Amino acid sequence: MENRLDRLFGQLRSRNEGALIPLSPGDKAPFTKSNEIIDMFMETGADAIEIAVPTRYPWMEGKNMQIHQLEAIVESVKSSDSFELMKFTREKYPEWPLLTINFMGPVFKYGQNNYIQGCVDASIDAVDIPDYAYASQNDSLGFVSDLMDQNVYFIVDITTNLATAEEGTRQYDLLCKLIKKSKGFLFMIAQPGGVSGTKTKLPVDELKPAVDRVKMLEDEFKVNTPIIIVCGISSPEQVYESIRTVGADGVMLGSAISKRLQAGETIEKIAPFARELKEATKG
Amino acid sequence: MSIDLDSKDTLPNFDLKIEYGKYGGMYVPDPFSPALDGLADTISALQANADFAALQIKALQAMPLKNPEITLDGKILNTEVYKTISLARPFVISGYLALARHLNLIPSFAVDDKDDLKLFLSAASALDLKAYLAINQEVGKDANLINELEEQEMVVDVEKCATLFNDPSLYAFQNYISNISTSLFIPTATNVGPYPFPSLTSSFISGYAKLLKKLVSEKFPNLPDVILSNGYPGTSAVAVFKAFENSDVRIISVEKPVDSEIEECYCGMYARVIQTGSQEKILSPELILHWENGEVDRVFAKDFNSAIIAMDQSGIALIVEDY
Repeated sequence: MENRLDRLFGQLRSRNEGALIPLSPGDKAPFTKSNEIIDMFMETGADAIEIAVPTRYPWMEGKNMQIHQLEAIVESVKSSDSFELMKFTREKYPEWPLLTINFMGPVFKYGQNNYIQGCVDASIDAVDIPDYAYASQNDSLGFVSDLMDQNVYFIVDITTNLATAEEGTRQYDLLCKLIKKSKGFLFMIAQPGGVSGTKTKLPVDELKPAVDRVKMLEDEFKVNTPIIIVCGISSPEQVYESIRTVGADGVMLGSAISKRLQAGETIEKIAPFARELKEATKG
Repeated sequence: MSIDLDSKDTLPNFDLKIEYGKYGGMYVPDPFSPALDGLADTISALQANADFAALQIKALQAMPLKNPEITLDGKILNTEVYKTISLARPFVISGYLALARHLNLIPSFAVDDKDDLKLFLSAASALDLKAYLAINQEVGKDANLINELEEQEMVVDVEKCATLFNDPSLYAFQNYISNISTSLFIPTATNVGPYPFPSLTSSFISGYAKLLKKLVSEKFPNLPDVILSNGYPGTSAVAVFKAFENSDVRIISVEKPVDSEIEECYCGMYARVIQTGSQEKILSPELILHWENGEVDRVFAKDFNSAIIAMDQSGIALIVEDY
């Protein structure tokens, strides 16, 4: 069965359009809060959606994402609730590419097999688990291989430093390995350390050579994985720059919307901004 | 401090082997693996390095250390109880600071209590190091202390713990990973951080283990029958294990009971004070391994004395109290 992400990027490329992948925090059934956010993203044209599973040690999260994590703890949102939300969203939007983002802590706590089953039940297209060192440790837990057996992609992360590593270094070897193993799309991290958050200025000078290098290696290895910029995207201008100047295939963002939600803005007020973000992906 | 510190006492054996999967205590994203592997290589090459050892001794000597002398505390039933204070944490902090100085890196340190901070600042000052300090909510309330730290040109982060997760290790680690080529994360427990940090912390603990062994052999003609130390997060217990592995000493890791265990643990003085631990808790991976192998008893008790009473241990008991 074709993965929805492959279909999505095929369509976007034919339209010379980039992807907008926003993140939604999760809550408990009946998912009043998250459902409203997810519906808004669908209506404003987001190309895929990432649903967050809460964690208690969010070391890769900046302020806004940590606030979501704290809210989830206060509301006792568990991994099982997040998977229920994914199922609920899948039933509503059968063709929309659906991803989940979390850390290894929740995977261990929920159980690797339960986690994979949760992905299968919600027909998740890909998982974004940044702290599973898939390539460096040769999939030591067999986790990615089990996911792939179910047609669930594992999204790999590349930093700008790694992308521009000198040939012959262990960094370069890892870069090649990651590109060869990438499926669905790969993340190009625009922030040292990968800590989420918004930025006033996109580091185009770092991102452009990094994206060019990855594309060059993709050609060499005959892979064609779309590159998505993540960490720091906060405005339509940055979305446009990421796609048209840097040359990425899209952007992923979380904090830009979370910041507004946490400042008390209503969904009605955020929706035009989300629409602008999507418009900026078009050529 | 009255003890002699020389490199034989303090030099860690850098044993960065991986016992729980390559990234041990904590998983990290692929892009950071080469830097961590590189750090492990650099550290392994420091084995028996005299300059590094001298730096660690300098750091230790600058610390206001409590006296680790072994003293008789009294008798409980048939047990003569002796006490000593564990210097495992000072050894860990001084080891990391010496490493930071030697490799010219900026320490990234989580402040959970003022005692640790005192140790850290004395040693950092002796080695002329500035640092990033993530400070927990409680310590962060001391405005004078924060001003003092800022005057010492430390980068102080009090806001995150006050407004977000009250876990300074989270922010110290975030700072480290965001500046991975110029900073050094300093965990004080062997269950914190990715490879090579858990085994590196454990290596620094081995310096104290050598000292403890020496103090014990000077005090007693024969080894004690039982040695008890704090189990969570396991730093001192690991030191005790390292000092007395392959001996007849019974090593007990004592943990305070939590929440649901309180009723069970507090309801009897002689029989039910102690439980053999089965509770899932994130302890030091090294301690868990020894515990699972039956080399360390892990018990839940309200204090060391109740642990000894409930076990009715005869002979000599030594309590190694956490710093």
